[in-house]
Amino acid sequence: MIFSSLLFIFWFMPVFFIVYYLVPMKLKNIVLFIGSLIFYGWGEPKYLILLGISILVNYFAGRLIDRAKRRNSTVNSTENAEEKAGGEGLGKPVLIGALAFDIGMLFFFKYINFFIDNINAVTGAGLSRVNITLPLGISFYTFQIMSYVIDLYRGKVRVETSLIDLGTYLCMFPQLIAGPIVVYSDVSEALKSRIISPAGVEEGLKLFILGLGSKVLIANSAGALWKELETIGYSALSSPMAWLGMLAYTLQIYFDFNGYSMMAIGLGRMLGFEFPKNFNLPYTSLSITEYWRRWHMTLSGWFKEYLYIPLGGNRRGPVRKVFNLFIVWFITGFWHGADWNFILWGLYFFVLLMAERAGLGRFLEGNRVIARIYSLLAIGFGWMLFAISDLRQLGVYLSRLFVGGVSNEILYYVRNYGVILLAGCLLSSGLGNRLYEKIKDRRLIVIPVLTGIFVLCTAYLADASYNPFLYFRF
Amino acid sequence: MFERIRNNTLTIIISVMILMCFAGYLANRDAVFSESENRYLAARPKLTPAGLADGSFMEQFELYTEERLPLRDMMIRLKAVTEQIQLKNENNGIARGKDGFLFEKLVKTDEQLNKNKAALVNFAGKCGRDINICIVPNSCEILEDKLPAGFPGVSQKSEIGDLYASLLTYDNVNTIDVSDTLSEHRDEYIYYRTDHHWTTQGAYYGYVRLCDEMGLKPVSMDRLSGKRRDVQDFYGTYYSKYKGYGVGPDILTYYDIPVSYYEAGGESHDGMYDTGKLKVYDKYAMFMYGNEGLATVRSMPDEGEDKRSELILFKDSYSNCLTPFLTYNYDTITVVDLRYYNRPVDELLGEHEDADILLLYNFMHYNEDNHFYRLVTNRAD
Repeated sequence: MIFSSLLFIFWFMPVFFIVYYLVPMKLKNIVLFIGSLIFYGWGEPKYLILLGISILVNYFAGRLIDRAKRRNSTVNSTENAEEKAGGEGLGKPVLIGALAFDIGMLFFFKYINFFIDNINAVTGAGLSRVNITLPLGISFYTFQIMSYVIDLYRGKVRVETSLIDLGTYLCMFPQLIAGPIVVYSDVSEALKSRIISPAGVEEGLKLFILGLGSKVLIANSAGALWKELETIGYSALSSPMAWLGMLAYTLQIYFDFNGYSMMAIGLGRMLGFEFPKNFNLPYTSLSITEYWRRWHMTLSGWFKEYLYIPLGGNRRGPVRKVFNLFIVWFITGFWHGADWNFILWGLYFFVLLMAERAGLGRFLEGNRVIARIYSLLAIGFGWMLFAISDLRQLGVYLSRLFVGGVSNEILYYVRNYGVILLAGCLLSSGLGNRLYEKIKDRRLIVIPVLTGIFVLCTAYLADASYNPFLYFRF
Repeated sequence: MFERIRNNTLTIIISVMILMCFAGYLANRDAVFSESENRYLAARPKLTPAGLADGSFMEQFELYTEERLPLRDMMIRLKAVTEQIQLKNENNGIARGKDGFLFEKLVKTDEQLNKNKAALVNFAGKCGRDINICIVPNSCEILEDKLPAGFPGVSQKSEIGDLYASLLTYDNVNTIDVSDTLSEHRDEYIYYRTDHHWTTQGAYYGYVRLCDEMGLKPVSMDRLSGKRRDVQDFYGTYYSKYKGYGVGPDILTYYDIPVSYYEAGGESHDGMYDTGKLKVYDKYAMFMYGNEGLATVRSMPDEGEDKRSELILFKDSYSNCLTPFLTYNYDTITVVDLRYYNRPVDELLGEHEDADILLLYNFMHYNEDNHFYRLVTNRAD
């Protein structure tokens, strides 16, 4: 199920929230757990099994790590240091086993066909592809559950003894499918007890509606333009059309992803949870370094905490640091999709970040106008790497940006998409946030506006199913 | 208490809206017919273990929530108007041009077009008899000066030209190009503003051109004018999709041409026109009683001169308003709509050995319909 659907808004929400608010606190987690399983299983019930296995494996791994640690601490107080190493040694293989399982599942379900294709291409081995579809949200929930076992091993969180509570953490429907990546330590306390306040519900609902509007009114509309360019075929695009397409995709992906995160954070608040912020006006950045501090913040945070720092971060000298960053960006790219263009996309940012560290950053600090143009172009080009998997097609698209010539079709597209793209530009520039700050205490403005956005979203979702037959069937 | 309501106004408003909508859904259970969409909207599926297991329940339920949203028509209208407020002149793939004309946008030909072209070429080679082929361009190709600025789209003329070029090697094929004829008359009312068909006027010009190419003598307008009937307030399929403001209704014209016999889909009728359809949304369906797999028309013996005995017409809905004119040129017309016709075509051709053959389709149909293969599927296959 997805948030931006009539099914979620007018069936799942009323039924789920009525039950959730009516049951006493100690039953809320089980209601949330079951509700989340229905939410997840709606589209593809078979992958519920995968999710269930993941919960069980990590739950028991957690219990074993905890037992090893506790034995270790009692041993530590009475016996010598040699025994201590032995105690840790028991926790470590369990941790490694759990991580191997988690990464193995992700590898198999997301990347196996990529490797088969490439092995075939290089060796001509002719291995046959595995017939699997990517389980919904596996990239997200794998990272979330890994945060639990790693933090437990590090002693940063306490063991979760309730299978229901751990399951609730992992499956919680707001962030299960597309983030934000909520690490266990973010919500461990709220899982045990949380306050659901009317003010929190009101705030959460506001965020949900704003997110829904981002997704349905802006992202879908900009996405329609991008899709149309794909249909036309990149080789037939004029230069202005190619630039317009790049703008449309850049806006689509931000309003889509940020919209989804806002809906998740809003729903979380309605449930009594505080999820971390995921985006902070990334397109206002004046460098790529800054951009990655503002874009998908929970993912960058995860990679820093669970990959960059364990690799040694910047503590092992400059060469090792560059190597570590290379690994991080390689994997960041690869995490986004099992294709070469995603790896290229990750490494593209690695190169830009290195350049900024090497001196470009200092230059940009002194030239704000250039810095803004540079950042926006770098982000836009990046999205083209991201959007077009076929590297030959990517080359075609990029060349059309400069040598596509001009045709008057641009008039039609500017007329049809100009307003929404302009709105997208203004909102992603931070203007919308400043405006909202100004009016947010004026109920007479905010409430009608948000209600209006909600009604319009319903209208657009209803229209998506509207399908008159152009040719008479009767 | 008051304070609480004040602080949670949005929660209350949205909750009430969601709950009312939910209640509305609970009342919407059975399938209903949507006139403007010309189809049945989904009923709420029954929950069965099998449906849960194979996911069909979930799929149908989702479809049901989409199609049976309370106030759905109003919502769709609201979306159309919101698009117009954004200065858009396109909604659901239909664009509004000048003078209230609506056009269908097609930026790239379908894969299907190549298959259809191959099927037609294959048929030309296999059939061995003289055949006439005519692909009629749609309004966006002919009414150039009514198009919105920069309107994108494939060139239907060059696609039609491609098809005709690949039929050149077959001496038995007569390709008929009506583009120029229609272009000459583009200032007249030859296409509907709100529908994808040509008007009866446009069809008449097409008919005259067909007659020229096929060596027939077209019936003159003077003879027909007394039979002319106009029907007001016709909103067609383009409007169904577009739904915005600023589009006037069309006038549907038909000529009350008598016939001695008409049978469509196994039912015989008094004439070629289903006047009952003039009272409903889908008025164009009045011509020839809509689309049936097989229909037979026998003309009045005293109408028309130098008539030939028989025509087999393979067609889509575009020809429905043209067929009546052909009754002045043939004693019998056998009308085949391949979408609903399952018998082998060679069998039918064998039964009508002396008949002329005409294939008449509009470009969009040629571009996307997937039933052309039936032309070349034989009894033996």
